[in-house]
Amino acid sequence: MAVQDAIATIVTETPAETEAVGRVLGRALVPGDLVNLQGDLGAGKTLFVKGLAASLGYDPHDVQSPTFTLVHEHRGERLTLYHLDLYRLDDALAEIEALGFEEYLEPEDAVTAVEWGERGEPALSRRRFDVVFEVLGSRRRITVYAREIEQQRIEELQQAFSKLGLERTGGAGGGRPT
Amino acid sequence: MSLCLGIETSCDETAAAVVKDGREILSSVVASSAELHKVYGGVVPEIASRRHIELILPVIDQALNEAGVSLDDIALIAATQGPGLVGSLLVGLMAAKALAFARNIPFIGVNHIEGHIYANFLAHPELMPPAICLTVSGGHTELLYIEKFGSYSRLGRTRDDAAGECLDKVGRMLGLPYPAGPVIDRLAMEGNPQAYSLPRGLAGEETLDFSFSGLKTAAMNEINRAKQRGEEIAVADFAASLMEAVVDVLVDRALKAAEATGAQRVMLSGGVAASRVLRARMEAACRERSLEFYAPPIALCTDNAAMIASAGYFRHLGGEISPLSLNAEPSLRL
Repeated sequence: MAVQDAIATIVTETPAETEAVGRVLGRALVPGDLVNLQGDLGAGKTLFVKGLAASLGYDPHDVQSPTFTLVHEHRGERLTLYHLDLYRLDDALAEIEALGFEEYLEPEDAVTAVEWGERGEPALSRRRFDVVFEVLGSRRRITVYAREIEQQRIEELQQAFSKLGLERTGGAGGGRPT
Repeated sequence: MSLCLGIETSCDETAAAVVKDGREILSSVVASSAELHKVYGGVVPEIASRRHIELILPVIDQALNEAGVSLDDIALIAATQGPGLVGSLLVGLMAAKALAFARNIPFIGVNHIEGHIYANFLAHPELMPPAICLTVSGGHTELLYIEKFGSYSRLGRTRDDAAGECLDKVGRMLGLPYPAGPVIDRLAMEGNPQAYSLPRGLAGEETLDFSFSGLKTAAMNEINRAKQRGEEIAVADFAASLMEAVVDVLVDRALKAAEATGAQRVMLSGGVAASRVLRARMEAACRERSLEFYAPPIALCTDNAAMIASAGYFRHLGGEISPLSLNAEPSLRL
């Protein structure tokens, strides 16, 4: 993956703040967007997707971890949301193909949030947001990268993130997606 | 007498069963790729899908043979419609529909979660609704009220991780082999449940929902802290404390659900219902409140097709039938 510049680095202190960051990104999503979430177990990836889902009109309580079930589909609101988890795929690329997951990972009329997407990186849509979570004790550093996203959307997003007022010190040197 | 052929392929088991009058198992065949999965540390869907296709017809044949019947004796075919992986679901659903069409047998699609409830009706022939059913597995945590056969209301569900997923993920952090749930359950019998202080999800909230994500994160923090200090985690004590945190919440919600609905019977189902710690605690709590407690034998806790046949039978009894155009629904709800 090419080195990219982060468009935002945000440090959250509570689960509610992490969810709020997800809501901001969710409001900016348009059909065809992919959000790739990277971070250890318990870093806040599913929580972030709750925020995304809420901003699209879904009940965040309906967003459950797809680790075992691999895919959850949320339909009926402004945008269909696919929620995937590649955590348990060992030979992810072969399995993505065998399962026909390409449609989820290169969405057309929907948006996709994928946890552990780096395991199938070559199958991920070129146009996407990479969101990296780092665990800093009870805090989380969330770094957002944009790939092949229009400059205007990036600028609007940056404004929306800064309105959250969470770009605290300690945010420098965010992790890079691998 | 009415025989139902059940077919289940929602996850990694390819299963077929013949059930008489919704209550009596004549055969129940489960071909699992769990052994393969152990090597990989999880469900391997690519393997699972391919194995379903290879196994589905032999498994159906075996179920018919073991029951000593032929397709001519089958009055109804039931198959899991969802939730599950679309590629896996399709294999069982298509086989069921093809057989139903070719032999002119009524066909019915069944919800997998609904199927788990019926494991109890199979295991306890006298058991009747109304009842509370708590279904706990790696992918699901659902609290249901069964008012009568075919009529369910969902009282609560997990808002994040399933109970079994929490056990498996923490087990992985502890370096336990997959699937970690049964290992944690066994270790928990030996350990001290008060040794580690772990949180109860949604404590203090008026709800019948569950949350296990915070527990997972707290357990992870505890393990990391010990590592940083160079301390050893006492694995049996940790397993006991983790199990206690999970079971406390499961028992609490089930009892509250019984109270709220007035149901006198509490049933467990799903893979985590095989946990001895959970069974013992739930049974004791029910006895204390003069509630009847039911759990299926281990073989019926995990995915099987007998429960699908039973659920299908009782639906059909109510006059239901599914069209052959029925599609697999990966996110099907009850």
